[in-house]
Amino acid sequence: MSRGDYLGEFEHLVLLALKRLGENAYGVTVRRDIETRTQREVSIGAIYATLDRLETKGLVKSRVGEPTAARGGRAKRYFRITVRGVAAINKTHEALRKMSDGLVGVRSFA
Amino acid sequence: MTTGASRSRPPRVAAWLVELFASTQEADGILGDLAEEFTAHERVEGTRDARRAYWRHARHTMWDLAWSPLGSPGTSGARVTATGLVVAAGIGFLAHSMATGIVWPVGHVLVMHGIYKVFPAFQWWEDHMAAPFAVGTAIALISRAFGVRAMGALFVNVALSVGLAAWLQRMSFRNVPSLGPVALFASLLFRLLQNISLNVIGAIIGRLMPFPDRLLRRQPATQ
Repeated sequence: MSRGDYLGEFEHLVLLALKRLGENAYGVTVRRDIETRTQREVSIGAIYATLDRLETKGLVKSRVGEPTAARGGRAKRYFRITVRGVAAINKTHEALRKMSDGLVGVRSFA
Repeated sequence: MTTGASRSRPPRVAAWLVELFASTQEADGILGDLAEEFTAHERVEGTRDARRAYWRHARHTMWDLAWSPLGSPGTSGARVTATGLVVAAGIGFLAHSMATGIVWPVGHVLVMHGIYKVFPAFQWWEDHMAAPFAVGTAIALISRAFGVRAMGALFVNVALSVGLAAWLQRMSFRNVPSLGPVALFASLLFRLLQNISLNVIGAIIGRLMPFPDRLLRRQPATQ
């Protein structure tokens, strides 16, 4: 596993959100997905900063979408997870499972 | 997601400030997302609440964008910020030198003709009213033209101007031995706030000017 494939906690959450949202993954939907599921307040800036980092690592790709009136005429920037991104999630899950296996009082990571 | 235009616009000042912290490539996506959140919030909670929420989101977004390059070297955000810092240091130095070169003779003329008795010329000119303002504007214009994060660049410039102000202050007080450390500290604090606010006001005005985008507009990369 190369250094770039290691995921930080927030990177992990963002990648999982991208995977879940599929074609409809952009700043607003990613932020809402993470907030709804983790009850953690997240800013758009944090999402973009993380996506920028993930894109640099090659785990995410972006494209510019259509502008809408609700967005003040500004275009959406859609993100999608790459094959490397999915592999990074799986490797992180595997590492977490191995680390948590057999620990008393810690829920096993399946 | 939500469709249709909002009844009112998001707070413009908050949007300008966010734009200062984002690169040209990021700005459209971020401001569009914030506007979309504003529209959705306004429908449910009303304009007043939506504006308050927008400011909160904008504040958190600025904070996260400002610090993100430190935690992620090598990313495009870090690269544009680093470029901005180098550009700002150069422009800041040049602009400060030029501004000082202009304001000293102006101050001299004001003093020679006794105008300072009516209007405190030294306080307004030599004490860096013009320089931080001009530098803030210049940095905002250049950063927009090159698509770098203006606020990262501005941080360096603020540091430069504060250092310069501190040095000038020290020179000013060299011949006033009766002045205690508290007065010196208060004066330095005043200079610091003055420099920062003028830099930021200059930068906001620089963001409002339309021509740099036309000169060197860079479109976000499409897939």
